[in-house]
Amino acid sequence: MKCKKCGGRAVLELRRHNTAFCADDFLGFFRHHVLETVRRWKMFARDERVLVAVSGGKDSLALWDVLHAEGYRTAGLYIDLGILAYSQESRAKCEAFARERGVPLVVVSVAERMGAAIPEVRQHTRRPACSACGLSKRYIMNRAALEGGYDAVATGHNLDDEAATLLGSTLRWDESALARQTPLLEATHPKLVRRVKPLFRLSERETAAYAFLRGIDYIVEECPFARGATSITHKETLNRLEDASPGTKAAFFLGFLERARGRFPALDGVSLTECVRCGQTTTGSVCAFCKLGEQIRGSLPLVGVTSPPRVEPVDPPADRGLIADVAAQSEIHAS
Amino acid sequence: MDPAAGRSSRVYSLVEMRVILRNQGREVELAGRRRVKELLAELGVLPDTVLVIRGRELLTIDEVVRDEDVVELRPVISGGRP
Repeated sequence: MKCKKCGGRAVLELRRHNTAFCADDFLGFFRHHVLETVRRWKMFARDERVLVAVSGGKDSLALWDVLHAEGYRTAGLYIDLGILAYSQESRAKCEAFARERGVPLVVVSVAERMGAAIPEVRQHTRRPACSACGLSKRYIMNRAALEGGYDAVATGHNLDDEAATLLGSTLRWDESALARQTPLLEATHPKLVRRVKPLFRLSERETAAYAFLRGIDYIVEECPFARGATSITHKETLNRLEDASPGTKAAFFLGFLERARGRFPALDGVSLTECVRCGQTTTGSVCAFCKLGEQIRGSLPLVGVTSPPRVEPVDPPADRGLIADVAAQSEIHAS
Repeated sequence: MDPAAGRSSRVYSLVEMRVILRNQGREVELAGRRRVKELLAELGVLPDTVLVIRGRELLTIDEVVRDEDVVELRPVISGGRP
């Protein structure tokens, strides 16, 4: 198979585009898609500071690689979920990536912030691990970005992730989730930071190929708690549809953004206030992250948590910066 | 003195292709050349769900793999994120 652009030996066929590329032309194609997405969606400007949430996996490291290589002002945020060997390995990948490129990496531990790591949360609550993990990540991403003075948080969600989420929301006709699903979540409150997904038009096979061809050392094995997750089932279903009809995933998700999302307007009347514990945004008086932390600390004695359980100070929350804590309890690699 | 010395000999490859299925944590050995597309079909793997890697190169579905090759099928699926 030949590269459709230069006629050289192709290394990747892209059936949904009915094309194939050599390594160099594929890397160019990938970068172009990321940069065009950032520009068209006005995700962030050249002079803005972007916190890239990295997991050690192919997507987030590929995203950081593109943005860093293009000269964007980035730092990485690694959230240590405390999932034993998986977290140790993924953290090491992120640290090595940052060290090799001389870019800053902020590390925040869920156990330090909540009083328990994800395995303990799973053990002591009825909440599925992925749900607690997602809640913790969203909370820590926003708080770290806010306190670090970043203009946007970028995540590595790809087309497959977004299509699977959309399928799940559609199967439940979850109107509020459909209204919220967007690659650009603007800050609607002074304590919220813009959240963007610059890879949403690229498939996970494309991000994997980019990472491989760039020599990025990423963690291939997925989180052990993700096995059997509904989102994986949705992905597998979409993969079968894609195999029978290439382009299905893109038509499903991009068509939703273009033609259907507007039919699910955001619910009015939901006003955000500040959590009385931590000062982050919430619709009630105590945010979901603080509630979960309190639930965990009030449960059985914890195993494997080294830090003493603690309650966030009621006020003034802004005085206790997460980034300041991070500097003391984690590493910041800077050039 | 080497007893084989002076005898005519012919070396046959007895090494089959080794396919590493990374997501399943197993390896299979297969004999004979075939296209990547056929290999994936034999193993029941959808082409868009893996990278096909031989050494330091990616293979498209029309490439031929043969005995003595070591081929990794690296999954691209990820999940569980928020």
